[in-house]
Amino acid sequence: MSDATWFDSLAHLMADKNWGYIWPCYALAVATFALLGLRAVLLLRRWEARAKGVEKT
Amino acid sequence: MSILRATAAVFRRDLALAWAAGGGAAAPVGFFIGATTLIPLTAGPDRATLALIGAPLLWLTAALAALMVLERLFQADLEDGSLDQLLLSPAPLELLVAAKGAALWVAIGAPLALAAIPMALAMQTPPHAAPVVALGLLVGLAAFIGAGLFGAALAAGVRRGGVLIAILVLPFFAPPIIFGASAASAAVEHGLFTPAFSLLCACALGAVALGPIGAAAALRLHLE
Amino acid sequence: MFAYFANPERFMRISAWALPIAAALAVLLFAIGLPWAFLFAPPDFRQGESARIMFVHVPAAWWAMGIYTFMAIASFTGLVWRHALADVAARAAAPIGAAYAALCLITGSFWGQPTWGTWWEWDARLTSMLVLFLTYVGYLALWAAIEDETRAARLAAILCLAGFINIPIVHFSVDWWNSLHQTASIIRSGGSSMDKSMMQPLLMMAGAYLAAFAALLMAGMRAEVFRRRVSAAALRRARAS
Repeated sequence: MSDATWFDSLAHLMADKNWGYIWPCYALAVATFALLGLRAVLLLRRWEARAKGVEKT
Repeated sequence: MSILRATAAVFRRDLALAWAAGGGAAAPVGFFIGATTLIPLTAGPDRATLALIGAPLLWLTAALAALMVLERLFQADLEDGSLDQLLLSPAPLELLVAAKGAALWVAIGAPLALAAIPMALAMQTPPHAAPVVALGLLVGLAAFIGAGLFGAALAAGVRRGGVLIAILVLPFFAPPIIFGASAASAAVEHGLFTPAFSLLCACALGAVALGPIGAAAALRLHLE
Repeated sequence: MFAYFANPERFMRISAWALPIAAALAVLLFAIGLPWAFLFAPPDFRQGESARIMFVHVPAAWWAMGIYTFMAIASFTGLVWRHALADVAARAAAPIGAAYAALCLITGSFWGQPTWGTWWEWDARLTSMLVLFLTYVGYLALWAAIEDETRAARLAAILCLAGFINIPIVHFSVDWWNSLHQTASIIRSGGSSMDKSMMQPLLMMAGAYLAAFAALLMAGMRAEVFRRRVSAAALRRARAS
């Protein structure tokens, strides 16, 4: 393996002619899961809090 | 015997309603002609281009015209209680729904297919191929109405359900459109009996068989 | 087994510990899989580095279909057995599946441009995947449009089952029609044709996507169960007063 460190691998990748097609895909995947996760957390927090509030009454 | 009579009664009633209400077939046919007229305005009047894409594009405008009439299928009947009456009939709901679809096919589908002949000629289809294209559209409209029965039943009672119906039936419109447009392209060289036409017929048979079953299941849920 | 899980209380108790585990597993698999796919997996012989897009595109495609299958099973269960949680599960799965399908389409588009020279092609595989995405949209639209929740659940279940025919079409589309898209190289008779050095990160990413789905699904279902408790309590209060 000539690209021994991760930094070399990254540099090699960024120099590739298709770099501009590759990184948006990974960015989009990360963003998708981040947004889905955020939505899940927010929904869960809101309804769990309200359900606990209802139980007390 | 009364099953047959009940089904025939529904068919006749819906046929009469389709021809009477909202100008009958005039609105969808008028829309079909108008939308088809937009095609050369967008694609340019070049004869070679139109000969290539004109007939397949008729499938697009016919599908849109079919979407227009689907809303009428169950909306009014649900509101005024006629659908509840259908449940009381001796004939199974699936058969009655199929009769409604058949009435729509005769009342709207046939005029649309007929109008497709001059429209195909306008789209630079050679005269020997124009009736072939129209026949393909007639079959395709059966597929659209079969799928449309299902979509209209799902969305029955929803305010302004037309757009929702369009979204719901789009996945089921895709195969007949794909095969039908392909058959329309092939009509010039190979006439009526092309593989694409066979596949189109298969889609239509499937839609006509399964659409009323799904529609009846959905309608029963609305009428509970 | 279905009856065992039909009890919402039991689901809430199990998901209370299963959800964090699934979430942690997803994070772990992504933490290992993403760098592996992005940097350390070997480039493809023919396509070069752009084949790395496969590691985010293919798992999204697999699970967009898998999640729809899950929804179809849940819909069937809800319709036939009136399983209490089945409708909740189908509804919670839908936005996740739609997101996976959209991710598949967009990353596929980015992959198509350097590989085939086009951002989009109306071939069988792409068209049927787009139709799958539209089916997800239609499913969500139907849920939103019908006011009565039980009725919405049943109608959406029927729609989901009707749309299931598209799943085998998506999978076999590359075999049945001439397509730009490459033919099946993993799930096919005779075993996979992909090299281990690419298969391993791919499977890890697939595992990450699955764990993420499980976590997101449980979170969505829990939120829905809480929401129903709140609206049931509001109904009781309105009736009492």
